[in-house]
Amino acid sequence: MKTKFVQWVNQLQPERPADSAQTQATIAAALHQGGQHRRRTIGIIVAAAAAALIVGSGIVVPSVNQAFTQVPVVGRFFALFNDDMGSIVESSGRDQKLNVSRSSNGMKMTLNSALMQGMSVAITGTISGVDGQKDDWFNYWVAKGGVHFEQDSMDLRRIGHGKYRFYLNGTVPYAASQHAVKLPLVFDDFIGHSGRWAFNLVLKPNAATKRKLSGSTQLAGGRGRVQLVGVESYAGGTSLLKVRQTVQQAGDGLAVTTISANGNDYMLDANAIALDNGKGKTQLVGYKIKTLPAAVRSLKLRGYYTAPELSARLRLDKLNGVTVQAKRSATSFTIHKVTKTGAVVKVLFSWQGSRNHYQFSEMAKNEQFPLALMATTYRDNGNDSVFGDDYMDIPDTSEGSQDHSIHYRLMPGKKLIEARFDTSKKTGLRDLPLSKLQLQVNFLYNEGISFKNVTVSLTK
Amino acid sequence: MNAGDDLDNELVLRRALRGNRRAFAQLMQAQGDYLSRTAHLYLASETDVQDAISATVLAAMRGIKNVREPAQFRSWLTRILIRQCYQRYAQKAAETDDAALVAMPVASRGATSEEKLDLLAGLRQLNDANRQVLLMYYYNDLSVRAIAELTGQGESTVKSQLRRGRRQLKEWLGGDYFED
Repeated sequence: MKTKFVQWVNQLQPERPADSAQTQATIAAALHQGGQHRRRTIGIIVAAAAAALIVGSGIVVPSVNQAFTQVPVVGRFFALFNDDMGSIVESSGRDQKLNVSRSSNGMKMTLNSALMQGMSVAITGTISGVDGQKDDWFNYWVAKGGVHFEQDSMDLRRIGHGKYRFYLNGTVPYAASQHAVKLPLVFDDFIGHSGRWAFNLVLKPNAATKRKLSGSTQLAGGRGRVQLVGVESYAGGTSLLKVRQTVQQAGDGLAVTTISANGNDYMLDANAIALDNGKGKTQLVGYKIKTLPAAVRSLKLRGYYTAPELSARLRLDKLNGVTVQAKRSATSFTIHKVTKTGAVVKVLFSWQGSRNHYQFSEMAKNEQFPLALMATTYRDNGNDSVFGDDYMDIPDTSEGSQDHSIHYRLMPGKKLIEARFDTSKKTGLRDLPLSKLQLQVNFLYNEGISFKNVTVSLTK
Repeated sequence: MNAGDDLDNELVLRRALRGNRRAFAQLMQAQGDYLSRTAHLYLASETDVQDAISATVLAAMRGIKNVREPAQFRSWLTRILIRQCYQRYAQKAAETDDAALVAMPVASRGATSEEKLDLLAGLRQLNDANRQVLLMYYYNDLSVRAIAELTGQGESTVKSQLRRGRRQLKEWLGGDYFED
């Protein structure tokens, strides 16, 4: 039973905070920033849109699944996995019934249904005879001769004793999507059970009509601009809205999270698909939407713009006495001295900043680590490269950890911190001279600007 | 929330703990209202609240793999948030002239319950040290030791703040707000 104090505090709080939308934007911006911090190599707009995905999606079943009740529940495979696009296509009867089965190690796997809406591909299946769940995953690959398939997500659900339904989706290249695609899938593990289930799938694209668009508008106080390029509408009820997005500075992010018309939300997936290489300030992306009625003349957009300045990298042999000043905030790092003795690199620095995520006191307590050490040849893959032998940024801070490879010490006078990197266990760092090492200083500045109800006409 | 939603949430959590970034993003989005409500208990400024939430998300992103069990996630995340909130409170407190802090109004003894609640809500603007520690201990279930580590104070200081805070509330509102 809670104390009166807890009850009283609960009474003082509103059921839903008034700043709920702002908090969601803050979280999305922070996720985008966290992904950018590792200097992902994917396009700027895709990185922003990847964060925007979670603003548009959620754990709760979206209402579109409840709106389509014409298809009997037994035939609805995509609805189980909260796939809005799949639900629409399935309800229209335009999904491709596969009904092909393979058996291995006493388990029977059936691929039930698939869809192909432009570049988007999704497949559902069922497996039975599974004795116990050992983990949450299944594993597959596309065999030789198959189209390049960029997976987006995968999921599974237990639907009975030893029986599971599973789902995966992703995209194929635009050029390939204009014709039937070969997708030879081989599954070799299902929730910890080995086997081999191989399927030679051929998926046919749904018929598409293309329409050019030309409307454009500015966003976020003029920092961003979206230009509608065109829309491809597929038999099945979904479309791809092609948008050219421009930002003020390379590295800024622009993510559209809601596309509505006449009060209805048409966005199916806030995870935009990159349609070009996306270098520089402009990128062509595609948003998956429900097909717009013919009468729609304009759209309302909602989303956010991020203007980050995350970090700077400099060679270690050129840093003595150097002050690195952020361009977008008041943060600066002054590197007073850099030494390397054997495998130990020491960086003596001071830091100034006002509104950012670091506190000098926390650095001194080894609770925040604003520096990263890496080889000049280090390549960030946006994923696990930070765990490689040529990169160090934070020690293992989990309970019971004996990792002291990185340690920050507050110097007497309390105005300087010495960051000590013991590279003895990092084969990609320990033997390198300072000229082959670089230091990353993290500003972690990210200004997030949300925009709401920005109108853009379909045509000029 | 039904059993199916609980299962969905657990799956997302497990995947996030294993490093799945999409699942982590979903997880953090679902925590938004909770983070906001909790941060507002500790901080008065909306800017500070959003700043603390942003820092919490980043810290959680880096440390999520250190969470061993799903059941630990919420308390782990709460600690990160409270730490971020306290940092901002402490910075503001250090910059604030003590003489400017409003003493507990004696006149409140004759106020109605509703008026007292309004007073309490208004007093949130003070970010009083006692209130911070009271919330951490009684509302967020942190131990004295954990609070001492988080705030950088000694355990005896924390206990003193708890005693003073309890006395303050009892004088003001009447009754004991800390009994079960």
